[in-house]
This record gives sequence, C-alpha cells and structure tokens, in this order.
Amino acid sequence: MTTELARQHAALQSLVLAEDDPDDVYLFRKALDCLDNTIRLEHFADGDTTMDYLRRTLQDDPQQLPRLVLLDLNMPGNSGKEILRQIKSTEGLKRLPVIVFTTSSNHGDVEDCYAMGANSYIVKPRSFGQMVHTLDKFKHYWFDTVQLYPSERLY
Amino acid sequence: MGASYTLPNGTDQSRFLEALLEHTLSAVYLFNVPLRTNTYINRRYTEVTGYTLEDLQNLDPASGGIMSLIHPDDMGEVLERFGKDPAHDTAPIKPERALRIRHKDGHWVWHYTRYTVYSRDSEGKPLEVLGTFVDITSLKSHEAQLQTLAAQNAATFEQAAVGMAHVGLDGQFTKVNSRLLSILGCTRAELLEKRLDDITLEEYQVENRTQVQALLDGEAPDFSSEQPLLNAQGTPVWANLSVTLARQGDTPLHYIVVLEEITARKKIEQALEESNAALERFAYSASHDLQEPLRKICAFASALERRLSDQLEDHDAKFELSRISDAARRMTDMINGLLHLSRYTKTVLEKRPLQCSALLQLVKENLEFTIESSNASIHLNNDFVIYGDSVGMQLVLTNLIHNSIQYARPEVPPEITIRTEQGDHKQIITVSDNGRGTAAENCDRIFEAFTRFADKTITGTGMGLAICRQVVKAHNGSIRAHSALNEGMEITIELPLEEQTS
Repeated sequence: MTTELARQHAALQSLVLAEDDPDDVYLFRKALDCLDNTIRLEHFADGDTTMDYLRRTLQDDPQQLPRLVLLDLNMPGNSGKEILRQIKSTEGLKRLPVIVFTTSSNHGDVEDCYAMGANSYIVKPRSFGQMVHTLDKFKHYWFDTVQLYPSERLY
Repeated sequence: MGASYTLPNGTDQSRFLEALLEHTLSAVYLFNVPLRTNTYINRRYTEVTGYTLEDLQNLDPASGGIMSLIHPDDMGEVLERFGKDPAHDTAPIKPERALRIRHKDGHWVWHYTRYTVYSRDSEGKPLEVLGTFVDITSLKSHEAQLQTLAAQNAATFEQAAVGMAHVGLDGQFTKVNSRLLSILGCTRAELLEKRLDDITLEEYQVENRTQVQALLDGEAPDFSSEQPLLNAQGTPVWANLSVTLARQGDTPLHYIVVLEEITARKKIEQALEESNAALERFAYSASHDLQEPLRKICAFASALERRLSDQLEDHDAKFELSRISDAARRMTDMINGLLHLSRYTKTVLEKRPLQCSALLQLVKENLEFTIESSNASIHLNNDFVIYGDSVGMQLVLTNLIHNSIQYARPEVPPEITIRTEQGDHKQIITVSDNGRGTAAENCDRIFEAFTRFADKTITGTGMGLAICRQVVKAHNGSIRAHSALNEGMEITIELPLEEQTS
C-alpha cells in the first residue's frame, strides 16, 4: 500500500463525533473498545468547532475527510440541526453521511432531521450493553457494508 | 277660500240645536258671571259631573259656589284668563286646556275645556260665558301610565348595574348611563362626543364592524365579545360587550350596547392561565432534565455490570448493582409518564377519525411481547370509529391493556374486551378484563398520578391511568372505573359526540 492509499484508508476508518456531553463521549469510547475496533474517533464538543474542522479539512486536504459524522442534536452554540443544515448545503461536504445520535425520540426532531438530509437517525441506547450492541451494528453497516458515494474523496 | 258653517236651507234651527245639545259628547254650560253660577247645563254635563242645574245653583256661594268645583291647582289660571279678557273679544280663550273638576261623588275628573264670552254688560264686561268640556279622565290615566312606564324605563337604563348606551347607526353615542360613565371614567358630555370606535382597540375594530354589519344584515340577532376598551385615560378596561340592533318594523333605529366590566375576572383568568402554563413548563422541563442524569445512572450501572461480570464472584454485589439498574429503569418509566402527562395538557390535539381495529392493531404491535408471554386474548366486540388524537388514543388503549395484563389474576390468562355504544350525545367505550380489579372505594383515586393500590411485587409507575385521564380530559371526555376486588376491572370512557359530527 502506498502512503497515499494508507492515508486515505485511515480517513475512511475515522468518524467525527459531535457531542457536548463528556459522559456520553466516555461511554461511546468504552463501547467502541468492546468491539474489535479499528475506527479512529475525532471528537468535538460543540457544533462550531465541528464545522470549523470539516471546512478546514475540506480546504486543506479533502482526502482526510472522515467517513461520516455522528451528530448530537442538543449542543451549545449552533445546534445539531444547524450543523446538519450547514453540512448539507456546503459543496464538497453535502454527500458526507450524517448520522444523528441523540436522546430525543421526539417525532418532530426525527422528521426535521430527515427532511434536512440526515442519512440516519439513532436514539442513544439507555444501557451500556445496548450501546455496545448498537455500535456493533452501526459499524457493520456504515464501515463494512455500505457503498459510499464514488469519489476521489470528492463529496 | 272661506269655509261655510251655515246649516242647509230649511233646517229647523231650534230643533237642530236641541238635538245637538242632547247628543253631543261635550258638556255644555252657560255661566252667569255676576251670579257666579250656571244658568244652563245640558244632559251630558250631568252625566260627567253628577250635578244637575239645581244642584249647582244650590252650592254654597260662601265656599266659592260653582268655582269650588275647580281643582285649586287649576284655579289660578282660570281667573287670570277671565281678568285678561279684552272688552269686546268674543273669540275663544286660547289655548284650550285641561283642568280638573270635582265630581258630585267627590273624585276629580279631568276635562278638556274651551269657553268664550257669550254676552257682555253695558260696560263691555263679560256677563255670560259659554263653555264646553269633554271628559278626558281615561286619556289622562293612560298618559300617567305612559309617564310611569317611561320613568321606570329611564330608571332601569340609568340605574342598571351594567353600562348601557344607545349608539346611533353612525356609531355615535346618543344615550349613556351612569355605570358606563364610571366604567370608562368620563363625563356624560365627553362620552356623547365620542363614537364606539373611539373606545375600541384598533385590533378589535375590524372584527366589531363585521359583527355590526351582520346585525344590520339581519344575519345575527346580537353579538357579544370580551375585549379591552379604552377608558378616558386611554387605559384598556376588560369588558364583556353585547350589541343588539333596535328596529322599528324593518327600519334599524340604533344599537343597544350593554357593557359589563370584567377586569377582575380577566385578571384571575390570566393569573390562572399563567400559573397553569408555568406548572406545565415546570413539569415538562423538570421531567426532561431529570431524564439526563438518570440515563447516565442506567448507562454507567450497566457499563459497570458488564465490566465486572467476568470478575465478580460476589453475588450480593451483583444483586445490588442490578437493583440500581432496576430502580433507575422504573424512574425512567415514571419520568416518561410525567412527560406524557405534561405534553397532553400542552398540545392541541390533532383530532381525526380513528378506526378502533386499526388503533388496536398498533397497540398490539407495541405490546406484542407482553401479550404473547401472558397468553392474553383481546376481543373487539364491535369495530367503531373514535374521533380523536391518534397518539393520545394509542396511549390510552396501550395503558389500559397493559394494566389488564399486569394486574391479571395469577394462573388466569387475561381476557380483555373492548366494546362501544352510543349514549346521549356521547360515545361510550368500555374496556373490561377478568383480572384482580381493585376495591370499589379505590376506583376514583386510581386515576391520580403515582397512586397505586397493588402490592409492590407487581411493578408499575402509577402513571398509566393518570395519563389516560389526562388524554381523555383533553378530548373533553370523562373516564371512570368500576371494580371490586378479584372481580375484574371495567374502565368506561365517554367522549362527546357533537364534536365528531362538526
């Protein structure tokens, strides 16, 4: 594998987690650790820094964009929905899969997010066991199963 | 053209005169001024006064003679007129007037009278006066009744405990009462300068005009509305305004405006609304915020459980850890229940026709595991349509069926029956089971939140029936329970029917 390909492969094995709750981030990491994990986690604690990171990466080195974004809805600063809107309206980012990951099972939130182009909507599991189970399925689907938009990392 | 008042030729004048005096409606008399008594009266005179000519002539001159028959209050004017009579004037003394004469029986009789100088002495002073009068007692009593009635009406209008006004078709106040002035804090003169629009807030003017037009068009008999009106200081005063249109036949005359001040009531209503809304917000945010730490307790307890599962041989520790998870789960259910409760006082329902069988299907899918593992059977006696909020009604059915299964008698598979009938303007839905039921005296209290009568071995939040009641109340319906211990539970829901058809 050339270095370039290795870099690209690493990017494809990474995800951005936008989540303000440190407990949830901790549990998320621990749950990932329970899996045979090869996923690299980039964590941002609010919407604005998430957006800054994505824009900067798009500009500097689009090859390094993550495979997908996991987005919490209730965050300080720009809310998750606003970030979703910005990603889906930014050329070069709009085909980046965004998976909403939230405690809200509110019908209105689900409707809004899909209407704004969310690729999936997952309600945070209550117990740690369920969290591991959910992440396992999530990983299988988004990292091992699904065919992403064909590109030279040009979303 | 001068009118001719002469009798036809050949008429016997004396016979005509006799007949006239005999049959006329007027009492006729000839009064001799120096003698101060009548020298002639006709029959009608006796009929209306009770006096014959002889009676009159025998009246005591010392006590005024015939003049004593005139009411003292009317006397002055009579004398004055005689005194002013110009020497040769034979024209009737004008204007004719009403005066009271005492009947022989003693009561006063109103007359309408007219008199004229009939003859004069050598010096030209009146010698004889010819007079006629008509009995107007009944007219006078009608007039008095009318005056009383008018005075009563005026008093009712003026002294009413509500503000009242007449408003012209142009919107101008034409008549206002004291209460209205005190409500609006202005003088009568100030208010009579104003138009109804002047005391109406701008945002209500279009609506008021539309309603008034409906009155004019005969589309509505009246309109009333609760709205703030501007007082003299320009401060809004809450009032209940009612307007009707006074008509004579088909012709509109003016508006009748009745205005009741409701500021105090509005203040209480607003305070109540605000406190209810605050309570709902509190319930919502409290339960919403409580969920967050609770979720962490669940998550960390289960993470810990998992981490220690391979290493922990201490069964007590495992048990204790599982109790934490269990308690947290129950609290989660309660908080979810609270959220449902507060949501159903807040949201406006989305009502639409719901087929009960379809609704039940959704509920069965939700409760699939519970139903199967309990071996429960659910019968829908007759399919029907509920006009209601889909989410809310699902919640009601889910809770009721879940309860029936949860509180089944040991070893007896739950049997749940749903049936409906039409009552008087209402739809009656009954959900009954063959379970434990509860003592009859508990039947009212089981709808209170967190209230449970079952023993602790049966898990539950005490929220299910409270949510049912909340949802049913939001539908303007009622819910009640009928039960006896170990004789099953029957829950009856009544929903108003008129809303369904409208």
